[in-house]
Amino acid sequence: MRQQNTRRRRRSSLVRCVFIATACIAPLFAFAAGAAKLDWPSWGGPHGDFTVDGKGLPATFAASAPKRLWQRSLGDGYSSIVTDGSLLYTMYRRGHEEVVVAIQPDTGVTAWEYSYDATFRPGMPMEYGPGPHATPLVLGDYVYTIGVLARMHAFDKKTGRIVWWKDLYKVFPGSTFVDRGYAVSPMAYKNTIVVKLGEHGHAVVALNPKDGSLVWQNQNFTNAPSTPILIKVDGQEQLVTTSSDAVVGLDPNNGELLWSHPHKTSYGLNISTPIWGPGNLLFISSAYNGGARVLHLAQSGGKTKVEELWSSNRMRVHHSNAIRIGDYVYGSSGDFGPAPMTAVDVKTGKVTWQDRTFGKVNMVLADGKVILLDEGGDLALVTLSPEGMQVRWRVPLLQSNAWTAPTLVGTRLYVRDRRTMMALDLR
Amino acid sequence: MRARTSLALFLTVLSFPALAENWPQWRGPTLNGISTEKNLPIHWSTTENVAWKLAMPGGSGATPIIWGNNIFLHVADGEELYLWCVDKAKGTPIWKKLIAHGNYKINKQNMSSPSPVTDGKSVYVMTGIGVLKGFDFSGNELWMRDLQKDYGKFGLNWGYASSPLLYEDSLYVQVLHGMRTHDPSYVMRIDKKTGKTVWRVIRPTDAVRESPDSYTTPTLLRYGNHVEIVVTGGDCVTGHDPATGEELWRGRGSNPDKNPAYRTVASPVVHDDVVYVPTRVRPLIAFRAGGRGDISQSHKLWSFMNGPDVPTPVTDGRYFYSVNDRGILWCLDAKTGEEIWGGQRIKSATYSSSPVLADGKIYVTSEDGLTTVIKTGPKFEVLAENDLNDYTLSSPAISDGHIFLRTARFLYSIGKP
Repeated sequence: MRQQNTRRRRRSSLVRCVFIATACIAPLFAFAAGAAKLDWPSWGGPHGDFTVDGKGLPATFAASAPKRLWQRSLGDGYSSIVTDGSLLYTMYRRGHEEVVVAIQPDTGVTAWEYSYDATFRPGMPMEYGPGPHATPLVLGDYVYTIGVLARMHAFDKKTGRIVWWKDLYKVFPGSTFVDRGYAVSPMAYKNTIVVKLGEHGHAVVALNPKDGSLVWQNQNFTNAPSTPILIKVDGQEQLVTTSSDAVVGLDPNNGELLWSHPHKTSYGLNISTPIWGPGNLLFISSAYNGGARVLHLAQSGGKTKVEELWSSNRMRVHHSNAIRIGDYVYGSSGDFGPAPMTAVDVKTGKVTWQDRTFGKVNMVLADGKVILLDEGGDLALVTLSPEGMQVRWRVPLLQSNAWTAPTLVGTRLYVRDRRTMMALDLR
Repeated sequence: MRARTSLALFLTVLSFPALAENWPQWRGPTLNGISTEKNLPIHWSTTENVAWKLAMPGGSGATPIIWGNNIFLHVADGEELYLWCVDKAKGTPIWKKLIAHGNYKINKQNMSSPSPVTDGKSVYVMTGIGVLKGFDFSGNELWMRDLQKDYGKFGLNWGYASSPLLYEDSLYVQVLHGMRTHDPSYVMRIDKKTGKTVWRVIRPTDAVRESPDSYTTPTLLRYGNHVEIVVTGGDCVTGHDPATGEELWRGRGSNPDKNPAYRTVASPVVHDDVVYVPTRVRPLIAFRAGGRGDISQSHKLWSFMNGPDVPTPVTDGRYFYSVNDRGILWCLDAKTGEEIWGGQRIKSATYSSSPVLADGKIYVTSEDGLTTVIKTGPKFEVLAENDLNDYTLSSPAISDGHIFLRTARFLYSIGKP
């Protein structure tokens, strides 16, 4: 026990000047909204914002800790778990190999897996975890993955047969090299896959899902390890993402710049996924010497009008996710030291409360309740309101660093840390 | 003076290195059990026509591997597994290197069954316990892998026995199992310079119980600009892209009755653009190259119901020779599968060693160490029976006018001293 505490303390003191991209990774399916399918096809789930409608979850699911259906060993990695409802997909590392694995949701048994050489380049500082960092994308018959050296694969999702693969750093020379490992999750838009690479006219590229061929490339900004989101600004679709020093809105059909707004932090590490919500409000937050800001976006005369409502260095989301409930955004704020759960008024930027019950957390919002996994490996059900946080139950499940966001499909919750993966029944 | 030098050079070239063909892997220089050497021995015994013999600490299923004046042997000695380098001319060991501890015997075989493989600069050896090592020709270890440690325990009923396939810069290793494990079967590519995995791909099959187990060695299929890795076992044959391991095609039908004991022992044979796929006796199926996806029917050329269980067949592209485990031989038309001659008996014994073909002859060795020499061609004719009277699982290797035969007690260099 003492040993464990020591280890934990050492780990948290290590969280310094780093990004560790688990949460940064993210494809988005913003327009799947409304469909109550039992899937979680990409980063952030069916709506790309870590919310599910909670249908099928009984009212009593809050009563006690969930039942463990199965657990299995899984190698290192922060890649989160996606599913089309039939199989689960994630990635892990084994020595010098990266592994893409498909897992039976009822048993945890491997359906197929594929591994490939992912030897780090000399000098890559992987002490916070060797990755993989990015989350797979399931689209149609295929599953798409990107590893820490930006090697991208498309697999037949049922059999694991390789459909195509590309070394993105080779195909798009001069892409921003992320020395802690590539971390942006691929994202589907119409019949393309959008991939963020950075610089040289290919900061953002769209690939043909069938063969990986280039559909378009655009922009020169330096990449940041956050996955884009797809939003609708007064009816216009926009791809919103962070670069190393700004937040930008792009036309998802061609990558043309619609607007840009400064958003700086140290090392260019804008990691956490932006949040889009009612009132046309876009919330962005980063750790280190960054902070949070909210932009109001509106269409005016064929252009997007961007107005900053507030900015504050009191809310600094590092590599985990944040969620919006009503007029508040909740998330762990902090990097070097403690990272208390923080409630911030999305309209004013006022921090209403902070709570140190948990370390850094990743959350899923379902039926008004928040399932959270804290970095120490505790799973909890909480309610978050402007008044504070109420913990319904809390169970120790995994071990540090549990930096991977949970996946909720129907009444099943899938979680992992750097050694173990589990399926839990929330009924 | 000049004339004499050039004559001497000419004679040297003629007499020694030019004729010496290497035997760099289990099935020889062209991966199909064929040597182009001529004037090979026909008659021998334990004392007659033996250049030398070297005492062995025990038997092995592995074939001697030959490059230049080096013979590489996978040797099981008690609980240890060694790689020996032996002087081909003298028959004396040059060096012996420990590969791994943990040898054991299971039924006929021990953990030295996989044959080494060489590219002429380095030699690579896989063991039945999953330790795979690379050595240079001086015996310096280059790298090591422990596949059971990295990927889980092997689960073949009778122990792992496949040799690695060496192609260009990589080794291709199959682990096809199922009887004693729930882990999936896989094929992988390993960089021969570093020992690192380039890729590892699961090879799923619907084979049940013992039928996923495969003791075969993968081979290469080349046609047009294509190079494909051919893997058999689990009731099917698959072709894989060397770049990614992607399964390009699959031929089913090797276990039509879904027999749960259809483990695969005899290896696939490729000649030109035909892939010959043995199974547990029947049916041996010939497939045409060039298929994608399910080729079970589309590329099937012929099948044969009296195939081998253990010995891998041999073909020169015109005739296809099959030896079964009881010493009954068939000669088929390699293109049509039509029987040229069949059901010919050689000395009654158990046959586990695989036949080799060279110099118009086929050498077939029994477990009792008796090698029957048969004439190639459309007429069955036994040229000689040569008895070494010792337990033999290993297949012969041919180099430099000699046949290298490994019995339980000796490695023989058969030919002129």
